[in-house]
Amino acid sequence: MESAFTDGRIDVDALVRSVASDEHGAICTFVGTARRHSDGKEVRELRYEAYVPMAEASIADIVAAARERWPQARVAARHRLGVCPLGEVSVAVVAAAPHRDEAFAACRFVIDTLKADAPIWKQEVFRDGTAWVGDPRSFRAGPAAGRSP
Amino acid sequence: MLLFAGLRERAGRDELVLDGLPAGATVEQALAQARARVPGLDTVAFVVARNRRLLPGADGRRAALAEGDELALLPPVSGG
Repeated sequence: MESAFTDGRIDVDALVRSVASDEHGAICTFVGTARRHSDGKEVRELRYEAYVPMAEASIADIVAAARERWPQARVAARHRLGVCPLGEVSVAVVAAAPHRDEAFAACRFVIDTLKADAPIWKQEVFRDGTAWVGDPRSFRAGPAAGRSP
Repeated sequence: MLLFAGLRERAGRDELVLDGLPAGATVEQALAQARARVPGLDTVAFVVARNRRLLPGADGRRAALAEGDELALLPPVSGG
C-alpha cells in the first residue's frame, strides 16, 4: 500500500483518481490547508512530524474501519510532513461511494478520526517563536487512564 | 525511547537509549529513567506507546519490558 505521507505537495487529483470508479457516483474530498491566523497570531508556516510507522498503521486502521462501516466506499488519505507553506495542502481525504450520503459520511469519519488518533504533530511557526498544537481530545478512542501526568 | 514534538524539543533529541535497566524492568521504571534524564518531561502531557500500540493505562505501565521493545512518548496530537 502507498504511504499515507509525503514530504512534498499532495496531489489531490491523483488521490481522487485512486478511489474513482464507474460504480461510485459520488466522491467527497476534504482538503486541509495551512491557515495564516491561529488565535489571532500570524502564522508564517506550519511544520508537521509523525511517528511514521505507527501513524501509517493508524491511518490504515481508520481506512479499514471506514470500509467496514460503509462497505461500498473507497477511501484514501494523504498527509504532508515537514514544512507546509501557507495556503498549501497539509492533508487530503477522499471518499468515493455509490451515493453522496456515504461519501460525505466516510470522508468526515476518516478526517475526524485521523485528527484525533493518528500520531501526527503540527507546529505553528510565528515571527517570534513556535508552538506545538495539541488536541485535548487526542487518543479519545485509546486508554485515557494511561495519560500522564 | 522515542520522543516527539514538544517532548523531543524539551529533551533536545528524538531518542533516549535507556541503559542499566534491570531484567524484568517495567515501563514505569523506564519512564522514571526518562524523567531523571529529561528535566520537565512531565510538563508536557503524553501517552505511552509500546511497539506502536497505545499502552492500556496503569496496567500497561506495570508490565515488564522485553528486549528490543520500542517505547514512544506521544504528546497530544494535531494532525490535519
